[in-house]
Amino acid sequence: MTTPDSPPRALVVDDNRPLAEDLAEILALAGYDVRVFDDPREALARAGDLEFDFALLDVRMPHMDGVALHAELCKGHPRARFILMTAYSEDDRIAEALAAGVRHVLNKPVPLDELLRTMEALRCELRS
Amino acid sequence: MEYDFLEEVARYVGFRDEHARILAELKPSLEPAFDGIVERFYAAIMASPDALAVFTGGLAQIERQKSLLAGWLHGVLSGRYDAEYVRMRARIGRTHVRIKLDQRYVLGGMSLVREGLHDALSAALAREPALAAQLAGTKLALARRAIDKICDIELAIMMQTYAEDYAARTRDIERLATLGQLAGFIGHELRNPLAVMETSLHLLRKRLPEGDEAVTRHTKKLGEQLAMCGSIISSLLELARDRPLERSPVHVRPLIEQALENLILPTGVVLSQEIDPQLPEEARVDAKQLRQLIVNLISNAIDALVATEGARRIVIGAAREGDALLITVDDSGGGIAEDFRARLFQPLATTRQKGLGLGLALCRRIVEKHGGDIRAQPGPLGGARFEARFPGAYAS
Repeated sequence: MTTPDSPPRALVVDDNRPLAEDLAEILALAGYDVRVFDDPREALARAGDLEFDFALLDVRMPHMDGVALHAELCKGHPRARFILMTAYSEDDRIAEALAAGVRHVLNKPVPLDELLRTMEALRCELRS
Repeated sequence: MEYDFLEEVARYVGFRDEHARILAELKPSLEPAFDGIVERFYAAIMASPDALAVFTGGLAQIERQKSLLAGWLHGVLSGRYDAEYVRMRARIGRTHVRIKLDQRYVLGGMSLVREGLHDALSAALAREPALAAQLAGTKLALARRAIDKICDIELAIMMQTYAEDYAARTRDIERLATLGQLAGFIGHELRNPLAVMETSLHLLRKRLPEGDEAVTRHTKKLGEQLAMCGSIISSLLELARDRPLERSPVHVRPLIEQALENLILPTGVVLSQEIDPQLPEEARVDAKQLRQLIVNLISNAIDALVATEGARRIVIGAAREGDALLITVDDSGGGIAEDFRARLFQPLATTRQKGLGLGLALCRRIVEKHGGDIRAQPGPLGGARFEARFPGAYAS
């Protein structure tokens, strides 16, 4: 778990590789230690070995959507905070995710200020 | 509606040349009764609150309609039933459709006309011995049959305009749905590449040397244009999202304020509100959809003012009408061209350089989902007036 000295750790999963990489870079510049995946199955397979405080997941991905991935990931990482990103109007799926504990949902194109602000707020929450 | 339609109906009801001829012969004798028929017709309307309700222009409109009805009666007995006749009759029928006169009143009205013409013939026979002599024997039966048949034809034409309107509306709804699907697809698919452009721009800005004015100017432009793409996509997605109606108690005044907040008024355009002070605080409508309707109607009014010289005014109004909420938007623009009026609320119909022509189609979808209607007519500011009615907004 994050201590005041270690950088917060974030997981970014989006099948849109260029976007996943950009977001990872933006978070790294903001002081996060980031791991990035463009395949949700790979993220899930590696999750057991990974420690992370935040996960930023795309909703619509091949093989497994972000809502299902959240359900799996939060089993082994109950304290992690999850944020979803979506390019689609998937109200029902989003409602399910929020009910299951996802903290925030962002529409694409991702409003970066809002993303960083939200992550910061969640980080304060984790510290307390 | 085509002349073929008339030919087909005439054949079906057995209306022949001899019927046309005798109607033309009867006309001078029946004409004196036309005013009486018109008065009985409108007395029946005045006695029916529902029928009267469609005449929103009050007594002045009724007076105009009376003279139109008298003119129409002349047409019934003109003896000339050609393509021009069909065109004129269809136009009257479409007026009924436009003012949303329920079909039962058309049926009732035609019944009064039929009865009036038969009575007029009886009176003329009693009054004019020459006519009585002319119509002796089987000819009287032919005359009466001709009256019945032409009334049947008139009714068929009027009902056909309702059928054509229904078909056109169904087509419009399907068109809007197809456009919505397409807009949704395009909108969603564009969001991903747009997201990459935004994040890349963000990163680029962080790495660019500071102090280069040209670089700052260009990255700023890129950012602005990307934001514009984002907002176009949001409007496309709004079209795609045909949300089910969610009525809740809505405070109309603040909702209008909110809707106006994000609108950018061009210089010189003055927007004012005329909200009935007696307007009840809460209306039961779908808040999001009402806001969307207001934004679309005002945007439409702004566009109408672009080419207007002189005073450029928009007035948004809200009032209660029975149990309905009435939203009005008036502008001082150039008004609506008569030939465009019928297509005004159709998807993709536009006379403007800018925009897709979806705003008013969406307005109609919103109002109709509430069980209401939307109309456009010449307004008090010299331009157009749009009236959207939301029935049941104040139902107890």
